[in-house]
Amino acid sequence: MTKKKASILIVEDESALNEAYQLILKQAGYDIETAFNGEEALELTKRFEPDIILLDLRMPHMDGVEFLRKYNLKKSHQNVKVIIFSNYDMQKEIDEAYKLGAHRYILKTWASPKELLQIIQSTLDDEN
Amino acid sequence: MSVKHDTETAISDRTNRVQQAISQRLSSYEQILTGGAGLIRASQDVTKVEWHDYVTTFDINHRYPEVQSIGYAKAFTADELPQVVTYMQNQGVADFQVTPIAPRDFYNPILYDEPSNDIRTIGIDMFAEPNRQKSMVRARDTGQTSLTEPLPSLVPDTNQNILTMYVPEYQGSDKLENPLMRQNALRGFVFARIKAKDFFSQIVSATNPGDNANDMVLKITEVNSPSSLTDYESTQFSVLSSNSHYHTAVRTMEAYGRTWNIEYRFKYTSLVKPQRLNTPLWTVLGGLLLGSFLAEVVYLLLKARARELSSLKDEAVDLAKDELLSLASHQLRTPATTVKQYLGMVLQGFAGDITETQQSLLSKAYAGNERQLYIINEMLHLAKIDAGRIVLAKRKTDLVKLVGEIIQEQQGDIEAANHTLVLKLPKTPRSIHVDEHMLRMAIENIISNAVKYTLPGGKITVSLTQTAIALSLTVKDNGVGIDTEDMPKLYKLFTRLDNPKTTNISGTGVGLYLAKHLIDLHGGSLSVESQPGKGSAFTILLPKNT
Repeated sequence: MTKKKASILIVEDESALNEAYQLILKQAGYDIETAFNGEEALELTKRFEPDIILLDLRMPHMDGVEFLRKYNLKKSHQNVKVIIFSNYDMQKEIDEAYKLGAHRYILKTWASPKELLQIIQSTLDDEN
Repeated sequence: MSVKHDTETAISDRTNRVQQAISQRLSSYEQILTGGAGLIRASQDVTKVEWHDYVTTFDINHRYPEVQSIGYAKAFTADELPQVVTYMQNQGVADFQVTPIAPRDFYNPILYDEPSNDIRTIGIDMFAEPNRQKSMVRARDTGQTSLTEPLPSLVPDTNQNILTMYVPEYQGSDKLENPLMRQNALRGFVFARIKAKDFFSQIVSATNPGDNANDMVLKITEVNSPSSLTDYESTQFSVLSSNSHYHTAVRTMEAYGRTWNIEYRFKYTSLVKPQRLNTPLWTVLGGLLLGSFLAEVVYLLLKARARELSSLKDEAVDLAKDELLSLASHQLRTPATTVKQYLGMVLQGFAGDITETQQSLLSKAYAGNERQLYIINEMLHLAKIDAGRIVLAKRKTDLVKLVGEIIQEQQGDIEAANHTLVLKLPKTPRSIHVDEHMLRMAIENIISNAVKYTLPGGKITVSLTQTAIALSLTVKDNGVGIDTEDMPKLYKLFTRLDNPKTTNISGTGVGLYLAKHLIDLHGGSLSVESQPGKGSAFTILLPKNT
């Protein structure tokens, strides 16, 4: 399995988790940018178009759904794949996120480091 | 002449006082019962906990020690019996049963009786006992509070005979103008079990005009049925009856369907003494205080209930529930997720090589954390089901693939237990419209149970077949099996079956409850066939067109 040097934006407010994902993904060779909430993520994406956004839903200042709305994923960033990576599994938010163009929804508790990498890889491999 | 007149006045005074005290005390009970009926009427369904809270406010043990208990007996037809049984079981009365058990058109069992203290009255249908039935019928048909004659207690919780007071509780707010209307509207009775001896002796000592306990003695019986038990008789009554120093007076008193014959014996000398001012002020004050206190309690309880009831229809509450569930899920999961990532990193080689010992120790920590996440998941799903917040996200899913994936995940456990796995799955996809995530949980629970409850070296067979209208998934094991009498408890929440062979198997008692609910939500069904010692076969049926 060849690892492309893809770029990933991590949007996660919990600093311990944010760091963990950085460690894991950097080690795997990806280009990483991080944000701690939706607002920061919007700022970053003004000058940076990631291949994948790992997006948490519940964050202060601007949550994941709000970010997706403002980011205008479907229209302006069709090549960006957004993986909702959250511990939040309320139907309303999930539906909303998919409607706004999210590619996949993963519950954080399901993904160990290895599994996270598998998810990233399979997302990059996805032709859709 | 004036002495005789004085004596007569004195006797009138005493007897009036006694009868007033009886009336007032009984009226206090009536108020408590009526308050309870009001609470029930406003709330549609009073729970065991709510009843307990209501009765506890009156501190019966101290303030009304002669009252054994205060309860609620629900009236319903035969076809509602299973519902009521389930309702009581869901509230923790696992062995709820209506007695007598003979099938009949109407039942009226005691659902709640407080203070409970090992009360075994729950389930008893007082209507089946002719004497109590008489009072219940009177209460039901007239709408008036009724009191029974003294009767032996329903259960061996006291040696005294019991007077039971019934307040009928009706459905709806329409004016009920005749017995027929009342019969049709009857929903149950709120009742108080009163210890006859304690009740009357307390009245007597409170109203005793003299300094001596024997200055006034009484005997109280029912006028209309000479064969019934004596309500009360002072210990010295018969002895003093033939005593020339005592005056006799006989009075009749009607109250709540009873007609009492009260025979008084007054010591002459106590009658002519100036009266002690022991107007039972306490009864008056007590009555007033009780009245206002009661009103406040009922008002508050009703207000809280009304708020709850009205907002149940409010979307805002649904949103609030969602918020709470989300917050809970997030808060509970985050720390465990963090542990998962960091332990995972070390275990999965992201932090360099580790020794075998380190691997072993950290793996145990990782497994413990995984278990915690699993339990949190189960609890959250439970909470969602409970709050009615589960919405199925149905998508076209290949059931064959799904089952295959689940089996793969359980492979480790299956191999560890040295089980033989037999798969009878179709070679081609079988599509079905389901919520994959939810169905996965249900199937996982069932397969995991099969693995857990089969002794090592067992055989697990998973087969998937289809009929014209449904897909059928059967998980069969040759494990410990399930006893016939345990069957009703199988899907009950937090219930794990008592089997000495399986007490060391970990489990929360949530799996089957969840599985059943999730399958039910899909319009499917979960059934089981089992033989203790031989094994079990769980079958999930899922309709193809949903």
